[in-house]
Amino acid sequence: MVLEKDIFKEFEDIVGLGNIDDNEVITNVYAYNWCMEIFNYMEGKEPIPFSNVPKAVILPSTTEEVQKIVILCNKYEIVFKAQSTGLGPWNQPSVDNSIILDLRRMNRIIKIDEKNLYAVIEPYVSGAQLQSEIMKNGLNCHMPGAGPQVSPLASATSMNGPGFTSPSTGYSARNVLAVEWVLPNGEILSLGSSGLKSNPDWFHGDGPGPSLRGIMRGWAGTKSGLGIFTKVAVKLFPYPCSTEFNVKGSSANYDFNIPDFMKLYVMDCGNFKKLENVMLNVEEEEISFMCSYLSSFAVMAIFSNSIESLMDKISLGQLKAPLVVLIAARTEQEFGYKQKVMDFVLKKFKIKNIIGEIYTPNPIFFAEALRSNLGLHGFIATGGFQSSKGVADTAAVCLRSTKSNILVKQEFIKKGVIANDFGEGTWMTSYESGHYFHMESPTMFDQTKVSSVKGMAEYMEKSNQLDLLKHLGAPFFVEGTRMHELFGPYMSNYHIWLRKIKETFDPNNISDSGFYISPQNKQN
Amino acid sequence: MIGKSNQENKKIRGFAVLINSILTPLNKNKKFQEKFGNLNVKFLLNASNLNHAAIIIVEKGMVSVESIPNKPKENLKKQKVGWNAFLEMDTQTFLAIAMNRLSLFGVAKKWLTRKIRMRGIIKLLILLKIFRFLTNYNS
Amino acid sequence: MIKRCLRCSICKWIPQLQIKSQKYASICPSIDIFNFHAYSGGGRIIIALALEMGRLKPSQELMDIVYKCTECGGCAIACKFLNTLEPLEIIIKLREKLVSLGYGPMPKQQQYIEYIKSKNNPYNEAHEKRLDWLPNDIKIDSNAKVLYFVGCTSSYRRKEIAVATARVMNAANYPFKILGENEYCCGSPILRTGDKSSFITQLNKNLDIIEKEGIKTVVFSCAGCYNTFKVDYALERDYNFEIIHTTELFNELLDSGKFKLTNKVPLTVTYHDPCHLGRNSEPYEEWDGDTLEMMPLISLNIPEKPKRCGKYGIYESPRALLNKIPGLSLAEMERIKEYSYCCGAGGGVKSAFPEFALETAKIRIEEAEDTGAEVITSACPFCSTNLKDGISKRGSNLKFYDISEILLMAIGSPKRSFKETSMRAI
Repeated sequence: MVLEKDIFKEFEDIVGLGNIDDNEVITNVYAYNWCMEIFNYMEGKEPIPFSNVPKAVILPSTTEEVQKIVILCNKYEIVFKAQSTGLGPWNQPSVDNSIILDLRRMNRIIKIDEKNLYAVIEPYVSGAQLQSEIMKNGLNCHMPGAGPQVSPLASATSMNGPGFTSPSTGYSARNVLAVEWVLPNGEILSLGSSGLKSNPDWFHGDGPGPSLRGIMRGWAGTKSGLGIFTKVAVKLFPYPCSTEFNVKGSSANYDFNIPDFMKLYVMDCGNFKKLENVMLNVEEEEISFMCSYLSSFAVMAIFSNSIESLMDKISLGQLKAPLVVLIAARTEQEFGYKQKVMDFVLKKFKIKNIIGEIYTPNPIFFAEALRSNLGLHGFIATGGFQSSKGVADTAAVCLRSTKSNILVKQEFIKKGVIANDFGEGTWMTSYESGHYFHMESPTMFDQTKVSSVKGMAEYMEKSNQLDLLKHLGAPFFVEGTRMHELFGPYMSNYHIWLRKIKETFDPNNISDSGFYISPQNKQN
Repeated sequence: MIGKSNQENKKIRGFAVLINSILTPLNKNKKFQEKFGNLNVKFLLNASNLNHAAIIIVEKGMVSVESIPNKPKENLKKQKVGWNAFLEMDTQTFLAIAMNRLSLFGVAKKWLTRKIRMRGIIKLLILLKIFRFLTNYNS
Repeated sequence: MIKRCLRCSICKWIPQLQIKSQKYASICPSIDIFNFHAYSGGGRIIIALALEMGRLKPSQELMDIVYKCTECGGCAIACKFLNTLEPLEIIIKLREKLVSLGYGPMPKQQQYIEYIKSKNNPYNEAHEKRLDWLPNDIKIDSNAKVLYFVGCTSSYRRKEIAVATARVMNAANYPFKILGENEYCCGSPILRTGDKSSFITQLNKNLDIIEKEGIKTVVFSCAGCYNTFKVDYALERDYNFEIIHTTELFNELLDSGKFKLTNKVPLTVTYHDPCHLGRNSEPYEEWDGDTLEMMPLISLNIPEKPKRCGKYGIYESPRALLNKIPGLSLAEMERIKEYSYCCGAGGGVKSAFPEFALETAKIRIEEAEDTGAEVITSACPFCSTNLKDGISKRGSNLKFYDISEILLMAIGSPKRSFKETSMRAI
């Protein structure tokens, strides 16, 4: 399906020749994504990695062009789906009568405010690009677990955005300041201090008037279901250590000069109760750059760059409840203090740091930690992984969810459809000094085997059901009408309010609601 | 790295290479050498789902690994290899034991259902201790 | 493998850990110019999958996308930091498949393939003129067991490189011979288009002659020819001579005192790593290991399969040479070595899509300018051509010299000053 010629021409007049294409080669490529086969199977479709094929793909370069495109979509009732770097099935159009806005040409860093600690960016600035520029000012940004190659704007406005550095940089939802938002009807709304009539600026995310951040992105983001975000101001943080970032040698086994005043701790807490206490203690002290509970298999993975090098580390597989803490400091004093705190924790809980004793990672681990590249290690075992919908709650509830999930996972491991991590595969990290945590259960599957895809889908469904049966806290990744309608009734019927927001802001349902929520009784 | 030593010593293949990469770091561990310095023992560790078995030789506190094709079955006989203890299981079970995920009860259950085969149980306890030594910490 | 693309977009960037600025973060000229995801390494993997699944059929548009790629291998380097995908291999196979189905190469590429078949060079120049570059005062030793394989581009288009190379070898009293009219196109321009059978013909022609001559060592000043012999020829047929690039050779000769660099060359120079001398010149290693299925869905290769990540490309020799030149200072670009940004000429792009090649060159020239260098140098006549075109198109003040030309400036002669030598080298 392609756009009618005259409609195509109208779109082309907005963005210029060569910046829109409806050729099937182009559109089919955009129909492909990671994990699409799982979601297709969940919807009763063939488990292939292709979604609905959009009618065209368009490349705007300014907010004004985005606005005009959205207006035109409303005029011709064509659904639009916006994407930045495009990783993940939530970038896919849920209907054929759609166009994809690839925001690749909107790639400017508009402003870096060193004094007030924020940067204003466009959609196609990647995390690594932003970090490399702000490092020159001794600053850092939050990067989601998906990696440094994805868009901080997309994460901040439209996704959850947990990250390995969340203990020190929060998660994406917490890092949003002012926003420039093209609404589903084409109006441009400036949120926060950028909406001030006089002296608009980007430093604040709330107001003028009531804050609309909850509507704009809420808990989990709208995944292009409520318009398009064309600029965002994100919080910046002091870079945790020396900004000298000297990666040496050659790919894939780089070497790295570990900055002064960085230290890694990997401690086996032995059981979940102790892990909970240790994690709370560490986080309450506000000293960590990274602080994550990772299953032992995941610990093996973050120190490896291939499945073979992962298997080399079987000794780490014996860890029962490992906690990974990375401290970093800018001065010797600060470092000394943080180490003392950690020493105190180790002594208090009678646990040991295995780093330097039993295992010493390659220095490149530290570079990957600083650049938030660790999440991508989840792919090295089987080539594919996806997380369960996760939990965001207290540490106790997160760990209860982990425990409950083990048996469900083991059932599918026995069938040979997901990889055997003994059911423990978990990533749990803290936010806001241990006031709450999130966990997700990364599960390895093989996207090239239909049985594994189906098994993975069935496991994910069962894991979702488990959370409801055992009241396992607020789900972390919730997207799509089906999920919202599943969880909503257990969570103050939030889905009803979410739907009202959708219906109010997007009465024509032009902004693709596939991974957001559809209006009542309306299909795209 | 798995296989690096194999490239230097092309005699070992398959599963034995994995075992080699796991165990030979113990040769740099002084505490291991102190504890097992008087030990002379040979274990045969066969991965029933693969093509080569590993012969683990512990001699004067040093570990070395050789490999032997596990077919025909006669290759694995005590008379041929000279092992003191024999352990056979699939690699998934092996990983579960190596990563401390299978309790003694679990091992017993697998033994009863013939998913694990063993000879020289007393000596095998030593092998278990050797694997536990890899982390050598108290949690 | 084509089902394993994660659509992560890492193939568009230099390795994430090497990114030092926003401006110089990308590695793929194709997507930089054309922007749609289909133009990335990952995009072309998806095309291959869609073709296999029958979702797409070969078409002009599909060919266009597949051939608008310089096959620089940057996507592969970025991807393979953690993955085991082979984006470049897939693109190469995709072209071979299209050719086998009658959908490639592109018309201009088909034209130069015909020239190669009829005249032994892609430039439609008379084969008899292949030796026209050779000045009378160059000493050739017809009994030498070292062959200088000049290559088509140096023979016909970048003669100054061939001349400079020969002069440096003469200055080192390093005896060499040339094949002259018995030298044929290495076949690289053919191979990159996917026409493998025509490439094999060139391969056999060249190897037959070289072996007949009893050559022990073949010296290349062209990165493309070097790479083709070292990597692509070796995949198809065994040969018993050594391969060396001039940057390696000249370093060896300099270190052993065979020639001296007596003239100061007071230039700030930046070095462009040719893809074919750098990341793509890493040979394939045979793997004779076992694949162990440890558990369902998890298999290990024991020993680990070697991953071609550009580690064994030639990066240090040219730099070492430049650092030995008195008065010269080397200023590095951000994208170097295995993550160097392509000049834009390779993969048949210079012929089939000259505008794309030029735009890419301009990007690289801008990066060179940002180092503050006065000169950009490289070790490949094809890079030389495209980067010079880029300098001209951009109106840049940069000058381009091949590394052999700069060496010649430093060797100089009692009669010529640096200025004279440098003027002659242009």
